[in-house]
Amino acid sequence: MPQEFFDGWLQTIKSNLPFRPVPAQEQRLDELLFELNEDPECISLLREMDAAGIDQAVLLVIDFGLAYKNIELTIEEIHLAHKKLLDQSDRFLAFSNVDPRRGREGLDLFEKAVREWGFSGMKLYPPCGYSPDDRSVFPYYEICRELHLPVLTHIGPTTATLPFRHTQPQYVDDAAFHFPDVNFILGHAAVTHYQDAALLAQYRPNIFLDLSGFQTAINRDEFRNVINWHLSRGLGRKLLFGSDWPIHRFWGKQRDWVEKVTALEPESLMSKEQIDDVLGNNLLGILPRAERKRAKHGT
Amino acid sequence: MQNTELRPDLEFARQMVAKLGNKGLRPGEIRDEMALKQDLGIDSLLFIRLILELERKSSTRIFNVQMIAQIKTFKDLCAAINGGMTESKCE
Repeated sequence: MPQEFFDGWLQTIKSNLPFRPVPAQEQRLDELLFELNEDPECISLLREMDAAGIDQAVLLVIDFGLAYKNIELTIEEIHLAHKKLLDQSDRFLAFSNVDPRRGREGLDLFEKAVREWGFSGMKLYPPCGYSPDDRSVFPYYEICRELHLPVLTHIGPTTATLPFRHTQPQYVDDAAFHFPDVNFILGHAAVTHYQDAALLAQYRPNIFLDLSGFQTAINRDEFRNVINWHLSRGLGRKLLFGSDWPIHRFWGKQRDWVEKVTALEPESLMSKEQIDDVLGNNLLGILPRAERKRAKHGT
Repeated sequence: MQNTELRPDLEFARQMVAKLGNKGLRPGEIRDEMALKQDLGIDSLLFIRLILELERKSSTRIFNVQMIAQIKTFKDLCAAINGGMTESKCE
């Protein structure tokens, strides 16, 4: 994760604390949050997936190369680091992301990632400075249509060092309209701008809502209400489990997050079938056929 | 559970939990099995304050990310202060 991204995230967290930390505490908080993000080989993630009964996880590339200066790795090197993980373990899937402003060279890299390196979807990160409905992204959608790849785009605020423009659900609508055969996943949108997102998902068959970040809703005791909101609109088959690893590691482990979802059955909020859908079947239904491995639970 | 001869660091933890929590509990009313969030009213941001205050008081680094994620109850907190997440009583 780029230092500037991390710095903005820290600023936001500190500004929301209900107390004024002394400098030594600020420094200690920096250290703890930095530690939170240190798992480049996904060793801790795999351990937690085992404990949680998660078969496979989707890893997401983000191309910060045009949004920030001083990125250590090139976007190709970042893709190759993910490819290495894909080659080492069938527990991972990966979605490629290339900033659409990289032109032909960027499109070629994306095409190589999805045709040759085993990436099984596209990630978009609009806070880097582009919109999902920008025409420069459409050639990428064409490839996604051809290969039946889903597109996951970030929704909602993020680090304080990036703009939040273009992170509302409405910016996905034009793309989803022009590419009805491409499935769009609104990242965090089951819990962020979730009422607008639910409206889109309700009326666009190719829009899905990812639950990642639902830990915040749990912390605020809003999770049941949010799930109710979606279920009452017939969106049980549009919700996809996600954990936003490693952001929420402070508040629990992968097993905790799976259990928060499975606990909805004894609470009579969801049926076993609906929970299985959210934990894996809904995602499997929109992955390219070759990627529908033996996974039951995703993240 | 009323504890006697409490260790100073665990007693401080008990006092801080009572002070920060929004349940209006006195330190002596805090029981080991109480959940920090549901029973004691320590939400996610207050939890950050709690661990920073505990480390400041002890002048040592007590917590790491793996440990923090496992702290659900007051007893878990005590176990972390004691140096691990194994079984521990808060006295």
